[in-house]
Amino acid sequence: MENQKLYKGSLQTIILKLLEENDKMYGYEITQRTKEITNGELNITEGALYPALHKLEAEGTLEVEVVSIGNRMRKYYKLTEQGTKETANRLAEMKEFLKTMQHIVNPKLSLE
Amino acid sequence: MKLNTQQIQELYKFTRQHYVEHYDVQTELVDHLANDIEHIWENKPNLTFEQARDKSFKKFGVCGFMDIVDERTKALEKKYWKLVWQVFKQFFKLPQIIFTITLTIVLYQLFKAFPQKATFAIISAIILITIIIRLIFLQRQKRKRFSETNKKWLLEDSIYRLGNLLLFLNVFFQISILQTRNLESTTMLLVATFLYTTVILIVYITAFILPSKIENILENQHPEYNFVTNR
Repeated sequence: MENQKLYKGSLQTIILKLLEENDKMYGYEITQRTKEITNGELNITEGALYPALHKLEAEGTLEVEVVSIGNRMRKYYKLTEQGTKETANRLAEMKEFLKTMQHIVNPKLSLE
Repeated sequence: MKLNTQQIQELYKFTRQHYVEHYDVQTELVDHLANDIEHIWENKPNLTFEQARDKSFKKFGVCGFMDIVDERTKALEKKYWKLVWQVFKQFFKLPQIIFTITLTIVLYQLFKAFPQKATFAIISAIILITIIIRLIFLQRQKRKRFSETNKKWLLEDSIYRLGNLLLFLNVFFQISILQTRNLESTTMLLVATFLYTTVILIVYITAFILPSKIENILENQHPEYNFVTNR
């Protein structure tokens, strides 16, 4: 889908926002939750999700925890202290961005 | 329907067959595939394990797991150099700073007392030989560890490769071994001394300190490590 490209640049912010609301999450859960919230409109691909998670982890924004789930291990991601601050910044940037886009896409509405 | 232990092991094998060498990456992908297979079975319970697995794998795209492995390797390389930086900073605090200052003074005196060209070349050669000997030794150690555990870890790879240090120092060695001029000014000599001190510290950290702490580092950085070693 063409509009997936529009979401691509916001992937990290989407992940951070989800983790802000849900203490800890694992990769598959993130893909499913996003589908659920957006009614299937946004489909985070596996090939994009994990690199983004690993990058955020290497930067110190996320930390990981491994939990044994029956016969397999599950890797959970959660925000670090630095990550919580980062999330607030990214969300503020995102709001600014949406506002700017609104001016461009719908100038009449933004005059109000 | 939940996956049984044998099917989980099959998934580990499947990731290995698709060029995922490292246990930490395998573990995350196995859980992902397992979740997806169980989800697929909810809607299509008639599919066999292999059919559901292949259906799930297709979602990773034409490159399969390759992009994930590449990005993970890059991320951990970054983490490795962060560790080096952390230890490096310690050499400028007490008591290690005494070692750093002594090293700087000794190097400066050596450069002043002996013909510079030869001194640069000899010290660089000693550093280079030390790196090569350590690399050979560490490669042996790595093989031994793998034969005992049958598992590879990404960060372990970086530690045993010294984070590709030789590649980074390539230019340094070329200049210092092949250079033909003496450094006239004290400032330039001081710059050279600081450069040598930095290189020696980095070699000491990557080739000696980090490999000696490998167990600790893996325990801290790879949470899966504690599970498989039952610590």
